Amino acid sequence: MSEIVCDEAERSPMGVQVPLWREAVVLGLGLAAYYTFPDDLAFLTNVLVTALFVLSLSLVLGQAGIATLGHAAYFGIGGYAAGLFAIHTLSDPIAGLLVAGGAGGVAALLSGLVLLRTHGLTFLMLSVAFVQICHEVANRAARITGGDDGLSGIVPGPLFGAFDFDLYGRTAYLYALGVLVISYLVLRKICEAPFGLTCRGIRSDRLRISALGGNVYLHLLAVFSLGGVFAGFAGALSAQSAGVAGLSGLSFAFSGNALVMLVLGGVRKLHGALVGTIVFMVIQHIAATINPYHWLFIIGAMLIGSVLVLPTGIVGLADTIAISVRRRVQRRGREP
Amino acid sequence: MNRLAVNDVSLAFGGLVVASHIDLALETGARTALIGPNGAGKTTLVNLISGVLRPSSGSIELDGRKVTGLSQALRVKAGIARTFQINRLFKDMTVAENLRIALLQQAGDSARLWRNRAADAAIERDETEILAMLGLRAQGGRLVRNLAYGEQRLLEIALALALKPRVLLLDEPAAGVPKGESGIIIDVIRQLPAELAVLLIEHDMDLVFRFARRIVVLASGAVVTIGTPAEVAADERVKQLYFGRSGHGRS
Amino acid sequence: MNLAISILIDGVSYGMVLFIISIGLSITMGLLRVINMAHGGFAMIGGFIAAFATARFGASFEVALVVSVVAVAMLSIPIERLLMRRVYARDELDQTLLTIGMIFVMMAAVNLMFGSTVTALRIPDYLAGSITVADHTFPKYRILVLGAGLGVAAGLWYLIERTPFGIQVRAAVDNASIAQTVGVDTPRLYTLAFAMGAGLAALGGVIGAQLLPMEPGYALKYLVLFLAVVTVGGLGTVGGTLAAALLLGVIDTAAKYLLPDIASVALFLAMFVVLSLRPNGLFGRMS
Repeated sequence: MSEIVCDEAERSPMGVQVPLWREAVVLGLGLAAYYTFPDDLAFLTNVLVTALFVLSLSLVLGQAGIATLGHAAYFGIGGYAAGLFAIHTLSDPIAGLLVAGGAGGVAALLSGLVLLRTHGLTFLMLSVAFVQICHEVANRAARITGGDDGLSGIVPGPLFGAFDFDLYGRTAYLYALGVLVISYLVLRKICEAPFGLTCRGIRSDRLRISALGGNVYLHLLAVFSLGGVFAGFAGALSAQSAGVAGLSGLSFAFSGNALVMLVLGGVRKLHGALVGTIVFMVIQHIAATINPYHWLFIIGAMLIGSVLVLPTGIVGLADTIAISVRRRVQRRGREP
Repeated sequence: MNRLAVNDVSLAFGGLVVASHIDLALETGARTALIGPNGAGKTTLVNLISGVLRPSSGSIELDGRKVTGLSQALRVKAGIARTFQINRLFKDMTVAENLRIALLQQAGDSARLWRNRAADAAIERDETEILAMLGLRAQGGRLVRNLAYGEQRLLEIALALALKPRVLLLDEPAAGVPKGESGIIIDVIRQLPAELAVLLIEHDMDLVFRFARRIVVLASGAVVTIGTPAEVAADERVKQLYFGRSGHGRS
Repeated sequence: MNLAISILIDGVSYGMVLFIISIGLSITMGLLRVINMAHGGFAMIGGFIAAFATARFGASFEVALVVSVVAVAMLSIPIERLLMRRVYARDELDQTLLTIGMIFVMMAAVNLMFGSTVTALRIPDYLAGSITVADHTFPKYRILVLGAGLGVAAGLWYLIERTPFGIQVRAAVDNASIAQTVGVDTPRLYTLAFAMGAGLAALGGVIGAQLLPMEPGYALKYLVLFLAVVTVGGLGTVGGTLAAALLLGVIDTAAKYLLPDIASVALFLAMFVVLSLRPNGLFGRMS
């Protein structure tokens, strides 16, 4: 009787081993969308950016079990860092990306030093307090951040010195797609490595890890900071593609939305973040014309249904279907 | 020098004394059993030795070095490993993954961000070896939650062994295991590395007398007597403690 | 001096409103050990029902108050039976997500029925205006709020510490299976405790409508406040929740008066400081 083995290793649904097939799928879908919807690139770029952010949340929450509602703080900080860097120092987008990742990572590290000493509800509340405080600080420091209006005038220089960010958003989209695919690859490799295994152990039973000699606090600090780095990357992409870094990204609401997307897609596997983001944002885009409160109702119902009926998310459902299909195929193969 | 020395250790919670002037020593290769009625403080003693609890007085030494001030995790690094009376395993992960986590901790490699063929291969070799030693080779890919309870108890022991300890504390390894399956656990315990100092808590007297070279009897947090199995079996105080029970099954 | 008194009065009445709404949450979270993000939704629905009753049916304030408290308590029963019960044994994240889903649905429902603008709740004439005591003027309404808060605190303390109901709840929470073997109907107890919490939230929502105006976004907007009070105070303690509510209420009000620049985060800063030093809250035991 085969069972679902919860790891991120190279296992394709067809049972054939193809290296990097997941990244190829993401890249393929991204390029297909690029050619199919050339007029919607701004929205699609936003989807990519959000997907990267939710991916960083998946690392922190899905892998290590850190339930946080303050993750958007590192997204916002990354966005402002990239924006300020482009305006005052260097307009090269990759440099801005790295600076933003660094800023997000450092912010996560410093806040994590305090936050990670707690857990459960206390931690959740502290994470909310943290993002609200950051939001307010950004609001007050209007001379630096542009306050309510946001930090505008972010003009990224040409990518690799050759590709200008054009008005149609083509370069921005492909740039974001590239960053997303590479980030996904890196994060997946990290999850397959001992680091990821230990994270999942901590998620399962922190005290047991201590009883095995592990320093849970330090490990959580590391994964939390890493999550901050990738959230910062997402913030940079957002600022660079939109030309503006604002307060909406640095909010408890954005964290909450990301959490919903992650849960919808599936918390346990990294690609749940990608699936959930796409599903959520596409539905929201289509339903945008409807009364926002009806949208709220749909999301609320989906969340309730997700927790009660589909706790492993869309990805979990797909996995279950895939397993029963595979079993049926195997059984048929054994029949004379 | 003794592997493990517990020197005059006491602990009280408010008015409740859970450990009272306990003196205990384990030599290299010790096979010592810790017995006593329920509530005697056996698990408390294991918690004190492993670092979950700090004594209010007295000290604990490992190979002559004081470890009383060290945290649980640091004592593991120093060489003290324990199993839990009620399984604490990573239920949603496979047997192999559970073991791998422990092995990586022992190797100091638990935070490695990338795969390394050589290091991973070494871990895998240890994994196979320990699984084989415990008869769990075939179960490597199964989720822990799908294992039989007895197999889970074996995995508990496997995790402790993965830490390459010098002192192993086994807290009722056969607890909750149906009588028919406990034979496997007994076999495993008898095949533990010879230099490993083992302290075994058990209620199953069968297991105790087949395993132990020395027995420590604990009651109400204090040591009643220490001696060879024969001495302890003949001891009047011990007989009184168990109210004449022959010792079969749980008390 | 007058400023200090104003700050104190406003801060304490704000704190009292927070207390009345949050105490139900503290009880359900502390005693039932379940996270309920939708608690503010009960306060919101209570306020809306009361506003509706007075505006549409011309009911008096007192009647509207009673009706809304009872209605919300009754509404909470099927919610507890059908939804909350399913996640008592699940982990905190699942409970958080389920109840966030519930808030969204509540907010959408309220918007559907009452529209999306702020709804005003008229207070009766005999409560409007102020009284003067020893040269200081106190708004009558604030006195009512203060009295209500103290009444709730005293009543709850008595209920939990002295009555069989309270003892049963505490026993059931400490060890549900043992409580059941001695004849305590734990599921019914949970439902009652949950309904009581919801009713209290509605009470607070109605009484506090002046300070926390009714709008469909109410539940989410003030969710953080209620959670802050509960975590800072320590789960399940009446005294702790009261202390935390008053503390945060006064700090928030004082900041609005004295340091308007940081007013909106004063509360969060306070929460951050307290929780960093005392993760279980001011009076909390280990959860």
